[in-house]
Amino acid sequence: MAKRIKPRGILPGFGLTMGYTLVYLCLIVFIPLSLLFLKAASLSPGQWWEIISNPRVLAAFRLSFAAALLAGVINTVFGLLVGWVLTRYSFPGKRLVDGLVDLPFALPTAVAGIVLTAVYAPGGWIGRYLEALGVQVAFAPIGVVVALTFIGIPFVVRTVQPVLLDLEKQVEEVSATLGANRWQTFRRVIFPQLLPALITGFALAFARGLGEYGSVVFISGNMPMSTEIVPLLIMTKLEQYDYAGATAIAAVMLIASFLMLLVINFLQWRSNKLHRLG
Amino acid sequence: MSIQVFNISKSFAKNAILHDLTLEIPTGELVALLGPSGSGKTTLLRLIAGLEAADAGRIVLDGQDVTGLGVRERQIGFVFQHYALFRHMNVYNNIAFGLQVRPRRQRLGKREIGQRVEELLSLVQLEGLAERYPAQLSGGQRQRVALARALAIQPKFLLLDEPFGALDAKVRQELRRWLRQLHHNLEITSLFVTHDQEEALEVADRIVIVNEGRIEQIGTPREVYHSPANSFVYRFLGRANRFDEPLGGAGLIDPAEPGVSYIRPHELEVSRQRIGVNCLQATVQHVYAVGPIVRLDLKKTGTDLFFEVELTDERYRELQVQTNETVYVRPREAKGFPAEKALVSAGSHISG
Repeated sequence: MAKRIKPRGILPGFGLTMGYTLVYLCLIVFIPLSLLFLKAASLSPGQWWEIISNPRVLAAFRLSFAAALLAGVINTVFGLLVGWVLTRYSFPGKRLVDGLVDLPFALPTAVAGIVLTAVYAPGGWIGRYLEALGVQVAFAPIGVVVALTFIGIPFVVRTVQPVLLDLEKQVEEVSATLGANRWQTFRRVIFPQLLPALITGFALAFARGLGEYGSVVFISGNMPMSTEIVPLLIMTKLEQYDYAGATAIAAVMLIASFLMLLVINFLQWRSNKLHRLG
Repeated sequence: MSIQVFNISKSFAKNAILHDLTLEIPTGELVALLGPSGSGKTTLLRLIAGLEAADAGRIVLDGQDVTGLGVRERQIGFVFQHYALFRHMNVYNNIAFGLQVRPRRQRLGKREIGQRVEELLSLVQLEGLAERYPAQLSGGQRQRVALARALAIQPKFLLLDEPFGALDAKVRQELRRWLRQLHHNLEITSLFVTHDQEEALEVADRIVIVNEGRIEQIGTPREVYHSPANSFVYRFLGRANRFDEPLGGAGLIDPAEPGVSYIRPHELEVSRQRIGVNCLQATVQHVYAVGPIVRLDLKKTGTDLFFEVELTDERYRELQVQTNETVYVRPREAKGFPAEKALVSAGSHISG
């Protein structure tokens, strides 16, 4: 009797690892998130709409998304610059600067918020000069952007760095022998290879910015309609025992974030496909 | 459109790579820079291209001193060993790159660029692959794209750094012949770096042999092979047996002067009987009897000197030698060089 040979992959343990992955994701991600929707579902559509369309809530949504988006863009530009300097050139203290990049990861966000507030407040080290120029950073929407930029720096730098390191020097040399100037070489040869990593870094920084709470609450001043972010609003509702209201806002936030990340992932998939890596 | 290099020196971090090197490559020739790895041949090529700056010396391309000019002004086509294709661009855009980045006033129209790319694609025999990406091509095809891309800007010179080094033996063989043909048709002054003596001997009009940052010899393949300037060139161009004595009954080397002799394995004649005066007695250590050429590892009787002999399969079957048997070996031709002094010495025919 012929024995059927089970086809086996080279790597064993698919069942075990996949099972663990599913259990883990359920416990940590899916169940808490579904609970959120369950709670939000206790509201009637009318009530739900009333909470969401409240001007104060809408203003908070606007601020949260706009500030996170702006901070993400700033970090993409300057993160690329920092990554570029750290991989391309050597200078004294390079390792120290490289280490500093990770600091926003490690620092408790509240500490970051307090320090930023002290520096940018109207009487602070930098704030006093900005005040003279008529720019108010702390206790204004710009302050939110500053805080989100601070905590988002490492994401772009750390995603772009390995790609920059991997770039073949010869490809740039070829570009020069073909008559391209430095800008053309950057724009047409280097940048397209960096684009997927830049999009990833942007998405991470943006997502982190959306959820950030600790550092923003100190610098923003938390004025309703002007410098109040969504996570703070949720916090406020919770403190008033308005669980349904908090979950309704949270659910909208979740869906919006999910949609935006979906779009970003799609863009990244497309640029990867366009720049098919061999 | 000649390439002239005068007294070039270059060092990296205090390691001298090139020493006061002077070289002239005449218009239209296909020249090989041949040398072992670390000999400075790639550095020389990169200096000519302008990818490195020399510490001292001058580089003159087509009569114009370009020492101070950047790589963009030198009008050279450069091909790298690992192709260095733009992997995010398809074949069309790779080839068109040099035409597309020209300043607006000198740039060709879209249609003309398209035509040029088509011509180049047919030149490198890759018609119909314009839409492919580098990852979808074989090694040989990638190298041909790299070549087409270099030729697109109509360079005055073509510089190739180990162009076939990353390819497998069969493709390499094909591409060599093809490069010869291409050079014959385009008549563009070309310089290629290789460490493979067979490749240099087969492809080049002229070979420049480089060692430790200096030129050992320049000549046609026949010249460098048959009249090597010194023992280094002799050893580098093929298998060589070294004998620490002036072997040469014909007396071309003064026996009073200490010298060494080199003999190629196929220039040694093997027999079971003693033949003539210049005969060496040796024992067979090993026999490699695969293919049309049979190789014997021999040990000179009474010494620790090992050497190699190559004979035809036919001769091997006649002899029927086996390991540990004693044979007699007679050199047909030997090259003698004065010991340590790398000076020219004529080849010596040894008559029996």
